[in-house]
Amino acid sequence: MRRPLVALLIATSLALALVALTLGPSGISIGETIGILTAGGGSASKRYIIWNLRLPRIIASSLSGAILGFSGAIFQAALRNPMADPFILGVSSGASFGVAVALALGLSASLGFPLAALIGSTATVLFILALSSRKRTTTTLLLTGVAINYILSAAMTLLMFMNKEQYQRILYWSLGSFSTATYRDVVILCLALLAVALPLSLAHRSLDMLLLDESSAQALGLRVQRVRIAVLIPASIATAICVSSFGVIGFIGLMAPHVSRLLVGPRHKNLLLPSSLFGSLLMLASDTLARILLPSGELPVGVITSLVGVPLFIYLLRKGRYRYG
Amino acid sequence: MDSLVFDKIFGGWGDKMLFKNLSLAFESGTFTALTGPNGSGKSTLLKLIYKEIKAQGGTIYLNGADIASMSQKDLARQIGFVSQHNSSDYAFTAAEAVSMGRYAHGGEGTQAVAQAMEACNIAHLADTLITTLSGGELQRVILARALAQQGRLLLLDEPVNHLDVKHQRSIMDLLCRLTEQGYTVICVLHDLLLAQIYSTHTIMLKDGEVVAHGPTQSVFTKERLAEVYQVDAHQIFDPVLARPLWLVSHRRH
Repeated sequence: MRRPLVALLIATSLALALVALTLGPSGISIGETIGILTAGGGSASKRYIIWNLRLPRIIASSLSGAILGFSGAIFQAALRNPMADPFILGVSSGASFGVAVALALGLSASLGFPLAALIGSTATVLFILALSSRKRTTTTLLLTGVAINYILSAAMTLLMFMNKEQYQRILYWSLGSFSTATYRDVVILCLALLAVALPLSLAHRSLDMLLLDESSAQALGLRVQRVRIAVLIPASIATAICVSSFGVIGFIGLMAPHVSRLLVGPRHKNLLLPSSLFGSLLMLASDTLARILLPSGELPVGVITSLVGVPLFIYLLRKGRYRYG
Repeated sequence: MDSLVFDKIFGGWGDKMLFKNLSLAFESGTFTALTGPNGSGKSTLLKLIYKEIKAQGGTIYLNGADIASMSQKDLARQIGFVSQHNSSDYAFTAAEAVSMGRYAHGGEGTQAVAQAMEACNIAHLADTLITTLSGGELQRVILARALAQQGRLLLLDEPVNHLDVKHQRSIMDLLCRLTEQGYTVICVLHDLLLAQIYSTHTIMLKDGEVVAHGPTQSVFTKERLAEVYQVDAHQIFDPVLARPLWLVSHRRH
Protein backbone atom coordinates (compact mmCIF):
# COMPACT_ATOMS: atom_id res chain seq x y z
CA MET A 1 0.00 0.00 0.00
CA ARG A 2 2.75 2.43 0.93
CA ARG A 3 4.75 2.36 -2.31
CA PRO A 4 1.81 2.77 -4.68
CA LEU A 5 0.45 5.52 -2.44
CA VAL A 6 3.76 7.37 -2.39
CA ALA A 7 4.07 7.05 -6.17
CA LEU A 8 0.49 8.29 -6.61
CA LEU A 9 1.04 11.25 -4.29
CA ILE A 10 4.27 12.27 -6.03
CA ALA A 11 2.70 11.95 -9.49
CA THR A 12 -0.39 13.92 -8.45
CA SER A 13 1.73 16.65 -6.84
CA LEU A 14 3.90 17.01 -9.96
CA ALA A 15 0.83 17.15 -12.21
CA LEU A 16 -0.84 19.69 -9.95
CA ALA A 17 2.35 21.76 -9.81
CA LEU A 18 2.47 21.84 -13.60
CA VAL A 19 -1.17 22.93 -13.79
CA ALA A 20 -0.62 25.49 -11.03
CA LEU A 21 2.25 27.00 -13.04
CA THR A 22 -0.21 27.79 -15.84
CA LEU A 23 -2.87 29.35 -13.62
CA GLY A 24 -2.99 33.04 -12.85
CA PRO A 25 -3.90 36.42 -14.30
CA SER A 26 -1.35 36.03 -17.12
CA GLY A 27 -2.65 33.21 -19.24
CA ILE A 28 0.23 30.83 -20.01
CA SER A 29 -0.64 27.50 -21.59
CA ILE A 30 0.77 24.16 -20.48
CA GLY A 31 2.73 23.91 -23.71
CA GLU A 32 4.28 27.35 -23.18
CA THR A 33 5.03 26.51 -19.55
CA ILE A 34 6.82 23.29 -20.46
CA GLY A 35 8.72 25.20 -23.13
CA ILE A 36 9.79 27.86 -20.61
CA LEU A 37 10.86 25.24 -18.08
CA THR A 38 12.76 23.01 -20.49
CA ALA A 39 14.04 25.12 -23.38
CA GLY A 40 13.93 28.67 -22.01
CA GLY A 41 11.29 29.66 -24.58
CA GLY A 42 8.50 32.23 -24.19
CA SER A 43 8.64 35.97 -23.72
CA ALA A 44 10.83 37.54 -21.05
CA SER A 45 7.79 38.57 -18.99
CA LYS A 46 6.34 35.05 -19.09
CA ARG A 47 9.70 33.53 -18.19
CA TYR A 48 9.88 35.93 -15.26
CA ILE A 49 6.37 35.00 -14.11
CA ILE A 50 7.06 31.27 -14.31
CA TRP A 51 10.58 31.23 -12.90
CA ASN A 52 10.47 34.07 -10.38
CA LEU A 53 6.87 34.28 -9.22
CA ARG A 54 4.99 31.02 -9.63
CA LEU A 55 7.70 28.35 -9.33
CA PRO A 56 9.21 29.54 -6.02
CA ARG A 57 5.69 29.94 -4.65
CA ILE A 58 4.68 26.42 -5.68
CA ILE A 59 7.84 24.88 -4.26
CA ALA A 60 7.57 26.90 -1.04
CA SER A 61 3.93 25.94 -0.47
CA SER A 62 4.71 22.28 -1.17
CA LEU A 63 7.67 22.27 1.21
CA SER A 64 5.66 24.05 3.92
CA GLY A 65 2.89 21.48 3.57
CA ALA A 66 5.44 18.69 3.80
CA ILE A 67 6.92 20.17 6.99
CA LEU A 68 3.48 20.61 8.56
CA GLY A 69 2.38 17.09 7.56
CA PHE A 70 5.60 15.58 8.91
CA SER A 71 5.56 17.64 12.10
CA GLY A 72 1.90 16.81 12.67
CA ALA A 73 2.73 13.10 12.74
CA ILE A 74 5.59 13.79 15.18
CA PHE A 75 3.39 15.89 17.48
CA GLN A 76 0.59 13.33 17.51
CA ALA A 77 3.07 10.59 18.48
CA ALA A 78 5.07 12.60 21.00
CA LEU A 79 1.96 13.89 22.76
CA ARG A 80 0.08 10.62 22.23
CA ASN A 81 -2.93 12.66 21.25
CA PRO A 82 -4.86 12.55 17.97
CA MET A 83 -5.95 16.18 18.42
CA ALA A 84 -2.37 17.43 18.51
CA ASP A 85 -1.09 19.53 15.64
CA PRO A 86 2.21 21.35 15.18
CA PHE A 87 0.75 24.54 16.67
CA ILE A 88 -0.40 23.06 19.96
CA LEU A 89 2.75 23.96 21.88
CA GLY A 90 2.51 27.66 21.08
CA VAL A 91 4.29 27.92 17.73
CA SER A 92 1.49 29.95 16.12
CA SER A 93 0.54 32.14 19.07
CA GLY A 94 4.23 32.72 19.83
CA ALA A 95 4.87 33.76 16.23
CA SER A 96 1.89 36.13 16.17
CA PHE A 97 2.92 37.57 19.52
CA GLY A 98 6.47 38.08 18.26
CA VAL A 99 5.17 40.02 15.27
CA ALA A 100 2.82 42.08 17.42
CA VAL A 101 5.63 42.94 19.84
CA ALA A 102 7.95 43.90 16.97
CA LEU A 103 5.24 46.19 15.56
CA ALA A 104 4.47 47.72 18.94
CA LEU A 105 8.15 48.43 19.59
CA GLY A 106 8.67 49.80 16.08
CA LEU A 107 11.13 47.01 15.27
CA SER A 108 9.21 45.45 12.39
CA ALA A 109 11.14 47.39 9.74
CA SER A 110 14.58 46.41 11.04
CA LEU A 111 13.71 42.93 12.27
CA GLY A 112 11.12 41.93 9.65
CA PHE A 113 8.01 39.82 10.28
CA PRO A 114 9.67 36.44 9.68
CA LEU A 115 12.49 36.92 12.16
CA ALA A 116 10.19 38.39 14.79
CA ALA A 117 7.81 35.46 14.33
CA LEU A 118 10.62 32.91 14.44
CA ILE A 119 11.99 34.37 17.67
CA GLY A 120 8.50 34.50 19.20
CA SER A 121 7.53 30.96 18.27
CA THR A 122 10.82 29.29 19.19
CA ALA A 123 10.98 31.13 22.51
CA THR A 124 7.39 30.12 23.29
CA VAL A 125 7.94 26.42 22.58
CA LEU A 126 11.12 26.33 24.65
CA PHE A 127 9.37 28.21 27.44
CA ILE A 128 6.47 25.71 27.48
CA LEU A 129 8.86 22.74 27.51
CA ALA A 130 10.85 24.30 30.34
CA LEU A 131 7.70 25.15 32.28
CA SER A 132 6.50 21.56 32.20
CA SER A 133 9.95 20.02 32.66
CA ARG A 134 9.41 18.90 36.24
CA LYS A 135 6.37 16.78 35.46
CA ARG A 136 6.68 16.20 31.75
CA THR A 137 3.64 14.04 31.12
CA THR A 138 1.75 14.54 27.87
CA THR A 139 -1.20 15.99 29.78
CA THR A 140 0.98 18.55 31.55
CA LEU A 141 2.62 19.52 28.27
CA LEU A 142 -0.70 19.87 26.45
CA LEU A 143 -2.39 21.85 29.20
CA THR A 144 0.64 24.13 29.58
CA GLY A 145 0.60 24.67 25.81
CA VAL A 146 -3.12 25.48 25.80
CA ALA A 147 -2.73 27.87 28.76
CA ILE A 148 0.21 29.73 27.20
CA ASN A 149 -1.67 29.91 23.88
CA TYR A 150 -4.51 31.70 25.70
CA ILE A 151 -2.16 34.11 27.46
CA LEU A 152 -0.30 35.00 24.26
CA SER A 153 -3.54 35.43 22.31
CA ALA A 154 -4.82 37.80 24.98
CA ALA A 155 -1.52 39.70 25.02
CA MET A 156 -1.52 39.95 21.23
CA THR A 157 -5.10 41.23 21.22
CA LEU A 158 -4.08 43.87 23.75
CA LEU A 159 -1.08 44.93 21.66
CA MET A 160 -3.22 45.12 18.54
CA PHE A 161 -5.84 47.10 20.44
CA MET A 162 -3.13 49.59 21.39
CA ASN A 163 -1.85 49.71 17.78
CA LYS A 164 -5.07 49.67 15.82
CA GLU A 165 -3.48 50.92 12.62
CA GLN A 166 -1.30 47.80 12.50
CA TYR A 167 -4.20 45.40 13.12
CA GLN A 168 -4.84 44.77 9.41
CA ARG A 169 -1.20 43.88 8.74
CA ILE A 170 -1.01 41.34 11.57
CA LEU A 171 -4.37 39.84 10.70
CA TYR A 172 -3.45 39.37 7.05
CA TRP A 173 -0.04 37.92 7.93
CA SER A 174 -1.51 35.53 10.48
CA LEU A 175 -4.04 34.14 7.96
CA GLY A 176 -1.20 32.89 5.83
CA SER A 177 -0.06 33.54 2.27
CA PHE A 178 2.69 32.35 -0.05
CA SER A 179 2.51 35.46 -2.24
CA THR A 180 5.90 36.67 -1.05
CA ALA A 181 7.74 33.36 -1.54
CA THR A 182 11.24 33.56 -3.02
CA TYR A 183 14.01 31.07 -3.76
CA ARG A 184 15.62 32.15 -0.51
CA ASP A 185 12.52 30.83 1.28
CA VAL A 186 12.71 27.65 -0.78
CA VAL A 187 16.29 27.03 0.31
CA ILE A 188 15.47 27.70 3.98
CA LEU A 189 12.40 25.43 3.90
CA CYS A 190 14.32 22.71 2.09
CA LEU A 191 17.06 22.76 4.72
CA ALA A 192 14.48 22.78 7.53
CA LEU A 193 12.66 19.79 6.02
CA LEU A 194 15.87 17.82 5.56
CA ALA A 195 17.13 18.71 9.03
CA VAL A 196 13.96 17.49 10.69
CA ALA A 197 12.90 14.63 8.39
CA LEU A 198 16.17 12.73 8.04
CA PRO A 199 17.00 12.15 11.72
CA LEU A 200 13.41 11.72 12.86
CA SER A 201 12.64 9.23 10.08
CA LEU A 202 15.54 7.13 11.35
CA ALA A 203 13.90 7.23 14.81
CA HIS A 204 10.68 5.63 13.52
CA ARG A 205 10.75 2.79 16.03
CA SER A 206 11.06 5.21 18.94
CA LEU A 207 8.10 7.16 17.55
CA ASP A 208 6.05 3.94 17.47
CA MET A 209 6.98 3.32 21.09
CA LEU A 210 5.75 6.78 22.08
CA LEU A 211 2.23 5.64 21.15
CA LEU A 212 2.27 3.14 24.04
CA ASP A 213 1.37 4.02 27.61
CA GLU A 214 4.38 5.56 29.35
CA SER A 215 4.98 2.65 31.71
CA SER A 216 5.13 0.12 28.87
CA ALA A 217 7.35 2.30 26.69
CA GLN A 218 9.77 2.83 29.59
CA ALA A 219 9.83 -0.88 30.45
CA LEU A 220 10.47 -1.76 26.81
CA GLY A 221 13.63 0.35 26.87
CA LEU A 222 12.56 3.83 25.72
CA ARG A 223 13.63 6.86 27.73
CA VAL A 224 10.23 8.39 27.20
CA GLN A 225 10.70 11.97 28.40
CA ARG A 226 14.08 12.40 26.74
CA VAL A 227 12.87 11.06 23.38
CA ARG A 228 9.67 13.11 23.55
CA ILE A 229 11.59 16.36 23.94
CA ALA A 230 14.21 15.29 21.39
CA VAL A 231 11.55 14.89 18.68
CA LEU A 232 9.36 17.84 19.68
CA ILE A 233 12.07 20.50 19.53
CA PRO A 234 13.16 20.00 15.89
CA ALA A 235 9.54 19.53 14.71
CA SER A 236 8.57 22.75 16.50
CA ILE A 237 11.45 24.74 15.05
CA ALA A 238 10.73 23.50 11.51
CA THR A 239 7.08 24.49 11.96
CA ALA A 240 8.16 27.87 13.35
CA ILE A 241 10.20 28.46 10.20
CA CYS A 242 7.09 27.86 8.04
CA VAL A 243 4.89 30.05 10.22
CA SER A 244 7.43 32.85 10.39
CA SER A 245 7.59 33.19 6.62
CA PHE A 246 4.04 32.44 5.55
CA GLY A 247 1.75 32.82 8.57
CA VAL A 248 -0.44 30.38 10.43
CA ILE A 249 -1.94 27.80 8.09
CA GLY A 250 -4.08 25.47 10.13
CA PHE A 251 -5.46 22.00 9.71
CA ILE A 252 -2.86 20.45 7.39
CA GLY A 253 -0.66 19.37 10.31
CA LEU A 254 -3.70 17.75 11.91
CA MET A 255 -5.25 16.18 8.83
CA ALA A 256 -2.30 14.84 6.81
CA PRO A 257 -1.14 12.34 9.48
CA HIS A 258 -4.70 11.10 10.09
CA VAL A 259 -5.44 10.53 6.41
CA SER A 260 -2.09 8.80 5.95
CA ARG A 261 -2.61 6.61 9.01
CA LEU A 262 -5.96 5.60 7.60
CA LEU A 263 -4.24 4.33 4.47
CA VAL A 264 -0.90 2.92 5.68
CA GLY A 265 -1.46 2.23 9.39
CA PRO A 266 0.21 3.76 12.44
CA ARG A 267 3.82 2.55 12.01
CA HIS A 268 6.01 5.60 11.52
CA LYS A 269 8.27 3.71 9.15
CA ASN A 270 5.33 3.72 6.71
CA LEU A 271 3.58 6.87 7.90
CA LEU A 272 6.06 9.75 7.81
CA LEU A 273 6.64 9.97 4.05
CA PRO A 274 2.96 9.75 3.03
CA SER A 275 2.08 12.26 5.75
CA SER A 276 4.63 14.73 4.34
CA LEU A 277 3.44 14.12 0.78
CA PHE A 278 -0.21 14.53 1.74
CA GLY A 279 0.62 17.76 3.55
CA SER A 280 2.52 18.96 0.52
CA LEU A 281 -0.29 18.10 -1.91
CA LEU A 282 -2.99 19.65 0.29
CA MET A 283 -1.02 22.86 0.73
CA LEU A 284 -0.25 23.17 -2.99
CA ALA A 285 -3.90 22.56 -3.88
CA SER A 286 -5.09 25.06 -1.26
CA ASP A 287 -2.62 27.73 -2.33
CA THR A 288 -3.54 27.25 -5.98
CA LEU A 289 -7.22 27.68 -5.13
CA ALA A 290 -6.39 30.71 -2.98
CA ARG A 291 -4.68 32.28 -6.00
CA ILE A 292 -7.40 31.69 -8.58
CA LEU A 293 -10.77 31.73 -6.80
CA LEU A 294 -11.15 35.51 -6.69
CA PRO A 295 -11.24 37.45 -9.95
CA SER A 296 -8.76 39.89 -8.45
CA GLY A 297 -6.62 39.49 -5.35
CA GLU A 298 -6.17 36.36 -3.27
CA LEU A 299 -7.86 34.51 -0.47
CA PRO A 300 -5.83 33.64 2.64
CA VAL A 301 -4.61 30.07 2.14
CA GLY A 302 -5.56 29.13 5.73
CA VAL A 303 -9.21 29.74 4.86
CA ILE A 304 -9.00 27.29 1.96
CA THR A 305 -7.21 24.56 3.94
CA SER A 306 -9.99 24.61 6.50
CA LEU A 307 -12.93 25.01 4.11
CA VAL A 308 -11.78 22.22 1.79
CA GLY A 309 -10.01 20.05 4.34
CA VAL A 310 -12.58 19.80 7.11
CA PRO A 311 -15.44 18.26 5.06
CA LEU A 312 -13.02 15.80 3.45
CA PHE A 313 -11.59 14.92 6.84
CA ILE A 314 -14.99 14.32 8.42
CA TYR A 315 -16.01 12.18 5.44
CA LEU A 316 -12.90 10.01 5.83
CA LEU A 317 -13.38 9.66 9.58
CA ARG A 318 -16.99 8.56 9.14
CA LYS A 319 -16.24 6.24 6.23
CA GLY A 320 -14.17 3.53 7.90
CA ARG A 321 -13.72 1.92 11.27
CA TYR A 322 -10.95 4.39 11.88
CA ARG A 323 -10.07 5.25 15.45
CA TYR A 324 -6.68 6.97 15.40
CA GLY A 325 -4.81 4.50 13.33
CA MET B 1 19.27 -18.31 43.73
CA ASP B 2 17.70 -14.87 44.09
CA SER B 3 17.24 -13.15 40.74
CA LEU B 4 16.02 -9.85 42.19
CA VAL B 5 16.98 -8.24 45.48
CA PHE B 6 15.76 -5.01 47.08
CA ASP B 7 18.39 -3.80 49.54
CA LYS B 8 17.21 -1.07 51.94
CA ILE B 9 15.15 0.75 49.34
CA PHE B 10 13.69 4.20 49.92
CA GLY B 11 11.34 5.53 47.28
CA GLY B 12 7.88 6.50 46.12
CA TRP B 13 5.93 8.90 43.93
CA GLY B 14 6.91 12.57 44.02
CA ASP B 15 7.44 13.81 47.55
CA LYS B 16 5.66 10.82 49.11
CA MET B 17 8.22 8.37 50.49
CA LEU B 18 6.20 5.16 50.37
CA PHE B 19 9.00 2.67 50.91
CA LYS B 20 11.34 3.24 53.83
CA ASN B 21 14.18 0.76 54.17
CA LEU B 22 12.45 -1.96 52.13
CA SER B 23 14.41 -5.20 51.74
CA LEU B 24 13.12 -8.13 49.67
CA ALA B 25 14.45 -11.04 47.66
CA PHE B 26 12.76 -12.87 44.79
CA GLU B 27 13.93 -16.40 44.09
CA SER B 28 14.41 -17.54 40.49
CA GLY B 29 11.65 -19.71 39.07
CA THR B 30 8.97 -18.54 41.49
CA PHE B 31 5.61 -16.91 40.90
CA THR B 32 5.15 -14.13 43.42
CA ALA B 33 1.77 -12.44 43.84
CA LEU B 34 1.99 -8.82 45.00
CA THR B 35 -1.13 -8.12 47.03
CA GLY B 36 -2.39 -5.35 49.25
CA PRO B 37 -5.04 -2.64 49.31
CA ASN B 38 -5.12 0.26 46.85
CA GLY B 39 -2.25 2.64 47.50
CA SER B 40 -0.17 0.06 49.37
CA GLY B 41 2.68 0.32 46.84
CA LYS B 42 2.24 -2.70 44.55
CA SER B 43 2.54 -0.89 41.22
CA THR B 44 5.14 1.50 42.66
CA LEU B 45 7.29 -1.49 43.57
CA LEU B 46 7.19 -2.65 39.93
CA LYS B 47 7.99 0.87 38.68
CA LEU B 48 11.12 0.89 40.86
CA ILE B 49 12.29 -2.32 39.16
CA TYR B 50 11.99 -1.06 35.59
CA LYS B 51 13.10 2.44 36.65
CA GLU B 52 10.01 4.45 35.82
CA ILE B 53 10.63 5.68 39.35
CA LYS B 54 14.14 5.98 40.66
CA ALA B 55 14.89 4.72 44.17
CA GLN B 56 15.97 7.58 46.44
CA GLY B 57 18.09 5.30 48.57
CA GLY B 58 19.31 1.70 48.63
CA THR B 59 20.09 -0.66 45.77
CA ILE B 60 18.09 -3.02 43.58
CA TYR B 61 20.13 -5.94 42.22
CA LEU B 62 19.03 -7.86 39.13
CA ASN B 63 21.01 -11.08 38.73
CA GLY B 64 23.70 -9.54 40.92
CA ALA B 65 24.00 -6.24 39.03
CA ASP B 66 22.87 -2.86 40.40
CA ILE B 67 20.03 -1.68 38.12
CA ALA B 68 21.04 1.95 38.67
CA SER B 69 24.15 1.28 36.57
CA MET B 70 22.16 -0.42 33.79
CA SER B 71 20.80 1.45 30.77
CA GLN B 72 17.06 1.39 30.13
CA LYS B 73 17.65 -0.90 27.16
CA ASP B 74 19.87 -3.28 29.18
CA LEU B 75 17.08 -3.53 31.70
CA ALA B 76 14.43 -4.10 29.00
CA ARG B 77 16.45 -7.02 27.65
CA GLN B 78 16.26 -8.71 31.06
CA ILE B 79 12.74 -7.82 32.21
CA GLY B 80 9.44 -8.40 30.41
CA PHE B 81 6.60 -6.11 31.44
CA VAL B 82 2.81 -6.15 31.18
CA SER B 83 1.17 -2.84 32.07
CA GLN B 84 -2.31 -2.49 33.53
CA HIS B 85 -3.22 0.03 30.77
CA ASN B 86 -3.31 -1.90 27.55
CA SER B 87 -6.15 -0.56 25.46
CA SER B 88 -4.94 0.64 22.10
CA ASP B 89 -6.37 3.23 19.77
CA TYR B 90 -3.67 2.68 17.18
CA ALA B 91 -4.27 -0.04 14.63
CA PHE B 92 -1.05 -2.02 14.78
CA THR B 93 -1.29 -5.65 13.79
CA ALA B 94 -0.74 -8.15 16.59
CA ALA B 95 2.67 -9.07 15.14
CA GLU B 96 3.71 -5.40 15.00
CA ALA B 97 2.59 -4.91 18.60
CA VAL B 98 4.57 -7.96 19.76
CA SER B 99 7.63 -6.82 17.80
CA MET B 100 7.75 -3.70 19.99
CA GLY B 101 9.12 -6.06 22.62
CA ARG B 102 12.27 -6.18 20.48
CA TYR B 103 12.90 -2.42 20.71
CA ALA B 104 15.78 -2.78 23.15
CA HIS B 105 17.39 -5.50 21.03
CA GLY B 106 17.29 -3.54 17.77
CA GLY B 107 16.12 -5.17 14.54
CA GLU B 108 12.83 -6.92 13.93
CA GLY B 109 13.64 -10.16 15.81
CA THR B 110 11.21 -12.08 13.63
CA GLN B 111 12.00 -15.46 15.20
CA ALA B 112 11.69 -14.22 18.78
CA VAL B 113 8.37 -12.56 17.91
CA ALA B 114 7.05 -15.74 16.31
CA GLN B 115 8.13 -17.84 19.32
CA ALA B 116 6.50 -15.43 21.77
CA MET B 117 3.25 -15.45 19.78
CA GLU B 118 3.34 -19.23 19.63
CA ALA B 119 3.86 -19.46 23.40
CA CYS B 120 0.82 -17.24 23.96
CA ASN B 121 -1.24 -19.12 21.37
CA ILE B 122 -1.86 -16.07 19.20
CA ALA B 123 0.14 -16.99 16.08
CA HIS B 124 -3.13 -17.09 14.13
CA LEU B 125 -3.78 -13.43 15.06
CA ALA B 126 -0.49 -12.13 13.62
CA ASP B 127 -2.11 -9.98 10.92
CA THR B 128 -5.18 -8.98 12.93
CA LEU B 129 -5.44 -5.33 14.02
CA ILE B 130 -5.20 -5.06 17.79
CA THR B 131 -8.04 -2.53 17.78
CA THR B 132 -10.36 -5.39 16.78
CA LEU B 133 -9.20 -7.93 19.39
CA SER B 134 -11.18 -8.96 22.47
CA GLY B 135 -9.79 -8.06 25.89
CA GLY B 136 -8.45 -11.60 26.41
CA GLU B 137 -6.75 -11.70 23.01
CA LEU B 138 -5.23 -8.26 23.52
CA GLN B 139 -3.86 -9.30 26.90
CA ARG B 140 -2.19 -12.31 25.25
CA VAL B 141 -0.63 -9.98 22.69
CA ILE B 142 0.76 -7.80 25.48
CA LEU B 143 2.07 -10.87 27.29
CA ALA B 144 3.69 -12.08 24.04
CA ARG B 145 5.31 -8.62 23.72
CA ALA B 146 6.77 -9.09 27.21
CA LEU B 147 8.07 -12.56 26.25
CA ALA B 148 9.62 -11.11 23.07
CA GLN B 149 11.80 -8.96 25.35
CA GLN B 150 13.46 -12.29 26.21
CA GLY B 151 14.13 -11.46 29.84
CA ARG B 152 13.71 -14.21 32.41
CA LEU B 153 11.96 -11.88 34.86
CA LEU B 154 8.33 -11.02 34.11
CA LEU B 155 6.55 -8.11 35.81
CA LEU B 156 2.79 -7.94 35.43
CA ASP B 157 0.54 -5.22 36.79
CA GLU B 158 -2.99 -6.60 37.25
CA PRO B 159 -2.88 -8.66 34.05
CA VAL B 160 -6.33 -10.23 34.38
CA ASN B 161 -8.38 -7.21 35.41
CA HIS B 162 -11.44 -6.74 33.19
CA LEU B 163 -11.14 -10.27 31.78
CA ASP B 164 -13.86 -12.90 32.04
CA VAL B 165 -13.11 -16.04 34.06
CA LYS B 166 -12.15 -18.15 31.06
CA HIS B 167 -9.55 -15.64 29.90
CA GLN B 168 -8.38 -15.08 33.48
CA ARG B 169 -7.74 -18.79 33.78
CA SER B 170 -5.89 -19.08 30.48
CA ILE B 171 -3.58 -16.14 31.30
CA MET B 172 -2.88 -17.45 34.81
CA ASP B 173 -2.24 -20.98 33.47
CA LEU B 174 0.20 -19.52 30.98
CA LEU B 175 2.05 -17.67 33.76
CA CYS B 176 2.30 -20.92 35.73
CA ARG B 177 3.72 -22.75 32.71
CA LEU B 178 6.29 -19.96 32.25
CA THR B 179 7.28 -20.29 35.92
CA GLU B 180 7.79 -24.00 35.41
CA GLN B 181 10.05 -23.16 32.45
CA GLY B 182 12.27 -21.11 34.76
CA TYR B 183 10.80 -17.62 34.44
CA THR B 184 10.55 -15.53 37.60
CA VAL B 185 7.07 -13.99 37.68
CA ILE B 186 6.08 -11.01 39.85
CA CYS B 187 2.42 -10.23 39.42
CA VAL B 188 0.22 -7.56 41.03
CA LEU B 189 -3.10 -9.19 41.82
CA HIS B 190 -6.22 -7.74 43.42
CA ASP B 191 -8.05 -11.05 43.27
CA LEU B 192 -6.91 -12.88 46.41
CA LEU B 193 -8.40 -16.15 45.23
CA LEU B 194 -6.28 -16.10 42.06
CA ALA B 195 -3.23 -15.26 44.17
CA GLN B 196 -3.84 -18.28 46.40
CA ILE B 197 -4.53 -20.64 43.50
CA TYR B 198 -1.71 -19.74 41.15
CA SER B 199 1.22 -18.12 42.98
CA THR B 200 4.01 -19.98 44.72
CA HIS B 201 4.84 -16.99 46.91
CA THR B 202 2.93 -13.93 48.08
CA ILE B 203 3.93 -10.51 49.32
CA MET B 204 1.26 -8.64 51.26
CA LEU B 205 1.85 -4.90 51.38
CA LYS B 206 0.24 -2.19 53.47
CA ASP B 207 1.26 1.48 53.28
CA GLY B 208 4.59 0.56 51.73
CA GLU B 209 5.44 -1.96 54.45
CA VAL B 210 5.79 -5.70 53.81
CA VAL B 211 3.32 -7.25 56.23
CA ALA B 212 4.08 -10.79 55.05
CA HIS B 213 6.30 -12.49 52.46
CA GLY B 214 6.65 -16.19 51.95
CA PRO B 215 5.06 -19.29 50.45
CA THR B 216 1.50 -18.33 49.55
CA GLN B 217 -0.26 -20.75 51.88
CA SER B 218 1.65 -19.41 54.87
CA VAL B 219 0.91 -15.75 54.04
CA PHE B 220 -2.89 -16.02 53.96
CA THR B 221 -4.38 -16.09 57.45
CA LYS B 222 -7.60 -14.73 58.90
CA GLU B 223 -5.73 -12.30 61.15
CA ARG B 224 -3.52 -10.99 58.33
CA LEU B 225 -6.44 -10.38 56.00
CA ALA B 226 -8.17 -8.50 58.80
CA GLU B 227 -5.04 -6.45 59.51
CA VAL B 228 -4.22 -5.59 55.88
CA TYR B 229 -7.66 -5.31 54.28
CA GLN B 230 -9.91 -4.76 57.31
CA VAL B 231 -12.20 -7.60 56.21
CA ASP B 232 -13.50 -10.79 57.74
CA ALA B 233 -12.45 -13.99 56.02
CA HIS B 234 -13.38 -17.62 56.23
CA GLN B 235 -11.79 -20.79 54.98
CA ILE B 236 -13.28 -23.24 52.50
CA PHE B 237 -11.92 -26.48 51.16
CA ASP B 238 -11.48 -26.61 47.37
CA PRO B 239 -12.00 -30.22 46.28
CA VAL B 240 -10.35 -29.63 42.90
CA LEU B 241 -7.15 -28.20 44.36
CA ALA B 242 -7.50 -30.46 47.40
CA ARG B 243 -6.49 -27.66 49.74
CA PRO B 244 -8.11 -24.89 51.78
CA LEU B 245 -8.55 -21.34 50.46
CA TRP B 246 -9.39 -18.12 52.25
CA LEU B 247 -12.48 -16.25 51.08
CA VAL B 248 -13.49 -12.74 52.06
CA SER B 249 -16.80 -12.97 53.89
CA HIS B 250 -19.53 -11.00 52.13
CA ARG B 251 -22.80 -10.35 53.91
CA ARG B 252 -25.85 -8.71 52.42
CA HIS B 253 -27.54 -6.24 54.73
